[in-house]
Amino acid sequence: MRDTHFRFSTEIIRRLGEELNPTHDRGILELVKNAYDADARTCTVELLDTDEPGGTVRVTDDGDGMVPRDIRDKWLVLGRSSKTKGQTTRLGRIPAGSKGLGRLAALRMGERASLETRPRGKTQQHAVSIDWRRFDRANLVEDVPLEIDSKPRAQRGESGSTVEISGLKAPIKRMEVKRLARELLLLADPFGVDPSSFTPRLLSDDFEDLTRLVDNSYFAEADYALVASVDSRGRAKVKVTDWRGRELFKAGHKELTVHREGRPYICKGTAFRFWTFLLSGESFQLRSVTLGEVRKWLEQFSGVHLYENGLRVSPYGDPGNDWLDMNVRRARSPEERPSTNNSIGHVAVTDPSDLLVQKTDRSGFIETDYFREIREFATNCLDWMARRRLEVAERRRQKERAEQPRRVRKSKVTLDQAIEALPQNKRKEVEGALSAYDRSRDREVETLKKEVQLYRTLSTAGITAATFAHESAGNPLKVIVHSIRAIERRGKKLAGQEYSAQLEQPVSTVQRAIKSLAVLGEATLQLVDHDKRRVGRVDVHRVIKGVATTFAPFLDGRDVSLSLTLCSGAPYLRGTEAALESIFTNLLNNSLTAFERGGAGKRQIWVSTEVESTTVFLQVSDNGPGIEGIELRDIWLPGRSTQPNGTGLGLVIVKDSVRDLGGSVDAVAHGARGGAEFRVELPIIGA
Amino acid sequence: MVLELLDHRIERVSIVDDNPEARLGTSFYVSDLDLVPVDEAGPLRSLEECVERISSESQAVLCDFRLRVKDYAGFNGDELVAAFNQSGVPAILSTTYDPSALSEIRRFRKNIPVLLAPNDLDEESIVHGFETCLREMKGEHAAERRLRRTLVRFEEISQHHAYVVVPGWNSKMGVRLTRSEVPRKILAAASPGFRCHAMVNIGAEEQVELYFENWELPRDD
Repeated sequence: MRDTHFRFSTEIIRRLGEELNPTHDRGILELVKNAYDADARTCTVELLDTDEPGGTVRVTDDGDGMVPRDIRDKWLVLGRSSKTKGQTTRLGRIPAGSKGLGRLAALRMGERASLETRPRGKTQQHAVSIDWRRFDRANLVEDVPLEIDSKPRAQRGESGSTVEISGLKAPIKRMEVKRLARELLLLADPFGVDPSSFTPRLLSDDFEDLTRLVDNSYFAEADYALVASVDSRGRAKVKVTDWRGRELFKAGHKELTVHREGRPYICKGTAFRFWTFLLSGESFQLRSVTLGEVRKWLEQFSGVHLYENGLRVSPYGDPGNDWLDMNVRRARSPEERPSTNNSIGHVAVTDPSDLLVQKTDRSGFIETDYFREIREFATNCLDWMARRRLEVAERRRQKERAEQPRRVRKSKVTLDQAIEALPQNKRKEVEGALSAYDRSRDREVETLKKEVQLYRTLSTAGITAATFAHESAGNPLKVIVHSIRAIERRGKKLAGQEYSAQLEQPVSTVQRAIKSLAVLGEATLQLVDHDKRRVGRVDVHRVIKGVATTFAPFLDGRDVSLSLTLCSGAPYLRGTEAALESIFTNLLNNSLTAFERGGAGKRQIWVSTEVESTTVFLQVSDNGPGIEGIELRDIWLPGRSTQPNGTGLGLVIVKDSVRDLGGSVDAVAHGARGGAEFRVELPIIGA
Repeated sequence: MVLELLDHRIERVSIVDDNPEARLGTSFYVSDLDLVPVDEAGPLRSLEECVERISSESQAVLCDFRLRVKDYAGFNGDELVAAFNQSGVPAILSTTYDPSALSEIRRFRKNIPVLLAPNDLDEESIVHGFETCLREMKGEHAAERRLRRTLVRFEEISQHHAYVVVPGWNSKMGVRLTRSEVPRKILAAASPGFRCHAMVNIGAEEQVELYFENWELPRDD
């Protein structure tokens, strides 16, 4: 047998069409892109009776149309891109091109598809009709011949094509129509420099509404406008202006690429424009447009869109799409970071050599280095802008802090003036009351200032301790451990029996001392663990046991015994581990410090928990000297300590932390055991 | 003297640590094993150069984790130990178990069969450690080191970390990963409740021993 070929079952048409699983809008968009490639100026999409199955989609353009050869060798050929690398169309467009699979999927949306085309500069028009049911009934693709009907056309001048898909298998629902309207509108950058060069339209009310929104575009209302570009050598520059167009920040390649060591970008020729809106009522008070209008506009068009050779590529900038991770970064500092909802961006990539490759299902670009560079360029610009904005915000905050006293003085003057205006008899009364108020406020401020200063000092001490903990838990201790063990080994080998007599004791003494030293480092580091400050579920008993374990060596070292009586169950609450640890740690510290002032013989601390419906009670008491020489209610004030060198902050921290967890704390100067007794009440979620 | 382990003859053991006293301390174990400790005084310039040179001088390595505190090396011990084990030289990494260090090390954990705290270093653990490294080179992984494809569920993603649960290992304990340990494409798709697969040594006893390879995005079936 000779002259056989590969042949295709008609099944393959179904497969190819289905594999791409197009939604209606994606299919229609492929047809519109074909119109773009054909140098059309306008392309109109009509949806006829599409709210039920069986409707019709009609895509009409005024492009260059096709002669029969084009139909046969391009439009009806599937699997090969019709565009040649580096070539542009008659109007200088870089064609969107496609392997025809998208077109096939679109044509397969209904039972019948037809093409009618009027090639430019010719006198004829041509038509092809496809009835998919014939394909369903046939075995092989080649068993279904297609005919190109040609006939003379009425008006010679008007070129273009009309593709019609009828007998739609599924209805096109409202949401899809809205989505299609948005995609068509954004396809050829309606906000861009030359919006008239290609205008896709959808004949529907939604589209008209959106068009109106475009016409009233609000870019001028952006609080920050960023413009950046990468030149032909891969070097970038960026500039940010305010809503009045005045330059705020500017940077060259070096500053922008400080995190990548100045490497040039491979995405040469990429341009990035970005507008961010601070949607606060305050910032809109003096403007001619309303916050509501801008919000509505942003609802439709927000996001960072990506345009390749003039056409928008899905899904970048679609609702919910955040390809630059803007929302994640915003979690860090919402004040100075844009989100996808309050900003619009436009990344324009010129890619004549097809360095960007779309995934077959049209869900975006394949992650090649080129694409990653584009993303990095845009992200670098946004990060840079955030840094500069943060700098400005920080400077403003510093200034405010410096201005505070001046502001207070100004308000005082205003108040004084108001008092002057009072009748004589009232004036004395008010002035007296005001003085008293002033004095108590001053005392409060002084207290707070001292507290802040102390907190800062302690934090620094803490930070230093944490730093040194690394050092001390690190090298010298390691060296001592290894060396003492070597002495032990070698001593045993050398001295045999004599080892136990002469060397064992000093060696074990060193080993015990090492353990004590190591504990300090570990305890310090454990307090600073990041996770502990994260709000979540806190198991009360676990935290208490943890602190007790950490403190064990210290308690041992001071001959203090800790008696832990935890109730049954596992009470838990919502808060941070750090807060609960702070409470318990500081209460233990408090007891230990009290013992230094004296106490009855065997030093002991009792810790117990009790659960009563939605509350856990934590009691810490000792047999120390109790609370003496200070008013009970004053123990909670900062700076009040019975120790000469005490920080006076331990119990303040307990009080503040208890408050953070939504509870309350009480103290008794001499509890049942003789020493101080603290009772903490915390709300729990369960037990 | 020579230590013979699994067709490998170990005579000289290189000791890598940025602190000379610490190197000396560690060398006591090697000497007491009757092997020759080789003091790597540094500075260690490039990873490749270091691996090549040390491989030609010794047959095993004891390495500390933090090598970058001074100008001793441009990389940390985790990278170096992984490189040694990959090139056939058994290497043990020593580090205090501090959470931030462990997150960094996890990325290289596949090629760090043995991680010992300084307190756990002794003659026995060192010999056993070298043997474990040599076994893994032959493909014999201990149960707690064997990777299995398993489900990973993301609970929360914060500024620096991703908190995941590996139900096949422990359905109640969360594992904290730094964002840099998770491939970008997974992070991009992840949100609370997101599930995907990865190869994890679910036989590990402690969370610190867990390591993740071959993350897979869920297929859109």
